[in-house]
Amino acid sequence: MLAYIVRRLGGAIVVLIGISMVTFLITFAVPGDPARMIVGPHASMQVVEQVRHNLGLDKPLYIQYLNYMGRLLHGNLGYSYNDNLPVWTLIRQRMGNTAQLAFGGWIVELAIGIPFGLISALRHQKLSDYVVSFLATFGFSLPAFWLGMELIYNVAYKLHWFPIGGTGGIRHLVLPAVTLGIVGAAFYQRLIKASMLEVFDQDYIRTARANGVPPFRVTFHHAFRNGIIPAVTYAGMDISLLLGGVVLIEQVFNYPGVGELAYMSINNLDVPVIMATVLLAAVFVVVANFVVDILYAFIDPRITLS
Amino acid sequence: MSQLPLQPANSAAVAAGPRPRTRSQRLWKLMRSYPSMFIGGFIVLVMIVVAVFAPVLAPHDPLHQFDNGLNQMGMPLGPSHQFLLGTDPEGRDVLSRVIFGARVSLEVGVFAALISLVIGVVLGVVSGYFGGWVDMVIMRFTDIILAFPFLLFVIALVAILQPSVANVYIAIGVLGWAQMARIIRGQVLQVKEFEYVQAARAIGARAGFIIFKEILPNVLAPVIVFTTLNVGTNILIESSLSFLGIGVQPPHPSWGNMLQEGMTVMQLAPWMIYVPGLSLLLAVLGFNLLGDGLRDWLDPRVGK
Amino acid sequence: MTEALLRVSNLKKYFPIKRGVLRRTVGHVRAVDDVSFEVFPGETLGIVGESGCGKSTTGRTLLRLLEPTSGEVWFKDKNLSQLNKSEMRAMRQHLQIVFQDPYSSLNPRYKVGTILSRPMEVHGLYTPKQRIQRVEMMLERCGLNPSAKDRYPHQFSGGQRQRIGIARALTLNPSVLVLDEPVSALDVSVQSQIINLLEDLQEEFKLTYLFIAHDLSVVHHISDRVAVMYLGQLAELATSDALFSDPLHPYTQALLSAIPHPDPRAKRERILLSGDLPSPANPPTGCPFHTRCAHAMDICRKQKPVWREERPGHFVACHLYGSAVEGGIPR
Repeated sequence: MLAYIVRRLGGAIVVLIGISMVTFLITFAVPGDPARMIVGPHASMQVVEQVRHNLGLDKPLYIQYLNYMGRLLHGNLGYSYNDNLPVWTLIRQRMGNTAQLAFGGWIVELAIGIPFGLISALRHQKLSDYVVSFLATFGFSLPAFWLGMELIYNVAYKLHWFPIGGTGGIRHLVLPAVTLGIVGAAFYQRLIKASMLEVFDQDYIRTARANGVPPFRVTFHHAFRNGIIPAVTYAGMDISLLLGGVVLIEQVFNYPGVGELAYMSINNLDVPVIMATVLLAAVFVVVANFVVDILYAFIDPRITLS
Repeated sequence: MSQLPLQPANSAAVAAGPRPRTRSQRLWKLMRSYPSMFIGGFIVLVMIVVAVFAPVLAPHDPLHQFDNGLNQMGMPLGPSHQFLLGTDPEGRDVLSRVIFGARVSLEVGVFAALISLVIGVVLGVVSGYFGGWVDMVIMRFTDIILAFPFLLFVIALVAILQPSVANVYIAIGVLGWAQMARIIRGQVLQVKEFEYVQAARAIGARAGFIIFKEILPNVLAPVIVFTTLNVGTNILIESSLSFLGIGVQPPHPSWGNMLQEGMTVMQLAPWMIYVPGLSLLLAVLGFNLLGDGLRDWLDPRVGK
Repeated sequence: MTEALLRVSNLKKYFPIKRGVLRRTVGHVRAVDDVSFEVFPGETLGIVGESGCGKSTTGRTLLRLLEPTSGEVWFKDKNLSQLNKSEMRAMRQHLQIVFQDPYSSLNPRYKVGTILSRPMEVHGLYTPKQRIQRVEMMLERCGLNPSAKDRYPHQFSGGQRQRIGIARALTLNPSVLVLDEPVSALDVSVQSQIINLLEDLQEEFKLTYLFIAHDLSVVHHISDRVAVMYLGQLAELATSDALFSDPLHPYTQALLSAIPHPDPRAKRERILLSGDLPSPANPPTGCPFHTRCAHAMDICRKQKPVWREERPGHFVACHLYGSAVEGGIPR
């Protein structure tokens, strides 16, 4: 087990270093001069050179990378071109909102995805399975930002059931969370269906059935526990999807989160903020995946053997 | 179990009952067994026709701002005889813009999928066939790419390289190969174990020959399925980028930027979000249904 | 005596076992451990042994489908282990292999005709038209209808597929054919047909066979000489008749006693092997068979027996023979 954890940790660290290299390269492969972006188009060449020197941009690439790494390890994500605030401050102000939204989206995913997956598995190749599976493909094909607009127009604007946008409590969270969660729910439906079908095919389930255990008990007592495990491994991937989704959804719902910050910095070409968001999201995904791997190994000890 | 040929994998399901005799009978049988493949295929076909014949099909020039395209208040017009699906805030014909929007979507979706396909297949095959440290390096690189939330990563890259249609599909394609590489690698690892690959080595074939003639044909099914699904995803991402203002640039129409324009006036002109939104949903749904259906038909083992 | 066509000397194939965080090699599976033998032109040398004894690995390593860890393989006057990749590819014309599993050895995507002309294509032999003629001829020689070339592998039965596999090996006109358990995946009724076919082809094309199998009666039938393998090493090698009528090695004796006898009343003593097959990753010291041998002596645990010619043409690796003990095993 320890060897397994160490190996996973090593892998995660390699990936984290890789991520930092990729973001570094993109940040500094930007067309245009970062120093010029900071001082604005009217500053003199001398000022630009001075800023470039101060930022270390005149040093060789690998030195710049090491400096960048050093800053990252000290929690310094750089400064916004736009208002010269530390990027970390900007992100920290909005992180709570985004976390709430992502959590809400996750609840919606599970609340829809798990029951639908169970229905599909229990009624496999019957009408309800076909209907649910089509709904999943449909949900999976929905453009989330459009769904958000339709919800705003029909549910918020016409029916006045929920506020149109912004923050201020659970009611503000419902529509964006539903929008965010529907696409992911489709993934969970497929995942739960596949893993439950696999579990139903195991000998111990057949034995339970042959022994006359009632179907309800077979499903929830014997099968569900094992069938749900793969959903755990999906969490890392899911976080990645949720974090991608918030950029659009926060924009549609005028919701002040990290996604909206990313959107604003895209329009201002505020590279440090854009890349810091991307970097943090990727780091978050890696950490989540690592935790999931370890948890999974505790749930299913066979994993550590491979 | 032997590798399945590029023919109905579970032909038992197709061939249930008396063996259909004529070609059209067989087709009918296939349609009944895999309806989603045909529904999806039909939608995709319609989209291709619309995209290719856009100049013929569109009733108006999508960029033309009609003098009579706005009402006295300067607001867009609802559906009418002249403008079947209404006009937008600039007084342009929404139907024509949606038809031309199909072009961009298809172009980006397909080109990006092809870029991902080439990169993914090359890296996946090299990784799976040669193994060892090459495999380790490629798979770690794949892990790194997969760690980035895809949409966010593409958005950042396009924003930084300057928004343009070409940059959009290059960014999507260049970042979207990782999943494909993983799938192909897994397939190659499986196929490599079959004795016909050993047999090819025994007759003295080169690695290139073995890869192209013996291995690749046997991983074709997942490649086709995954690429089809990818086109759908890419269309969705293109529209997201255009919606954020970093994809197709106005005045050129794309479903994404039409939705962006529609968002500001949706209370007064709801068709502005219904029309491009439904087109987008239908297109993505078409590719997803086609991809899922192809998967069931070609190779029921791939992915779940 | 004629010159050997194929000479294998001290062939070894070790597979590394990797463990731990850094995937360090912590040991080796000794699949083939110091094996030497010769194959003479036109003969059939059988190699028998339990599954996992390294007989298939021996076949594949001598063809360099697996790279040998050490040792040499000489074909006529060429040292195969010294050839570079392209020389080896060219050499493969002369050394062909038929695989065990007729289902996975033919690529399901191609028609039989394509599969059979591939080897000639790869070696740039014949014109396309001649290749087709040759494919048809080979199919016919292997007992199939020439029209089989237009069909796909999945349209044939296991036995027919094995005939296709044999035809493929023969299209290059090889002199040596490694038959890697060519009939073990087939029904018994089909096995004898394939064996007969192989015998006919051997005569017609002057082929030399290395016949790998675990079925002793099949090996007895087809082989001129037989080698017995145990845990990656050769235990005994003799002419088929000598080996089956008068086995020397206790392991061979145990194997032979397990063959059902046609006469159920015949009085026979069955020698049962006790214990499990030891792991080739951690083979016993001394004689690899001592853990299961009824005649094991002290020396067997300590010292590896030498490979000696006990009688003319009858080789054995066992301490019961030679200087150690007089008279061999009481029987």
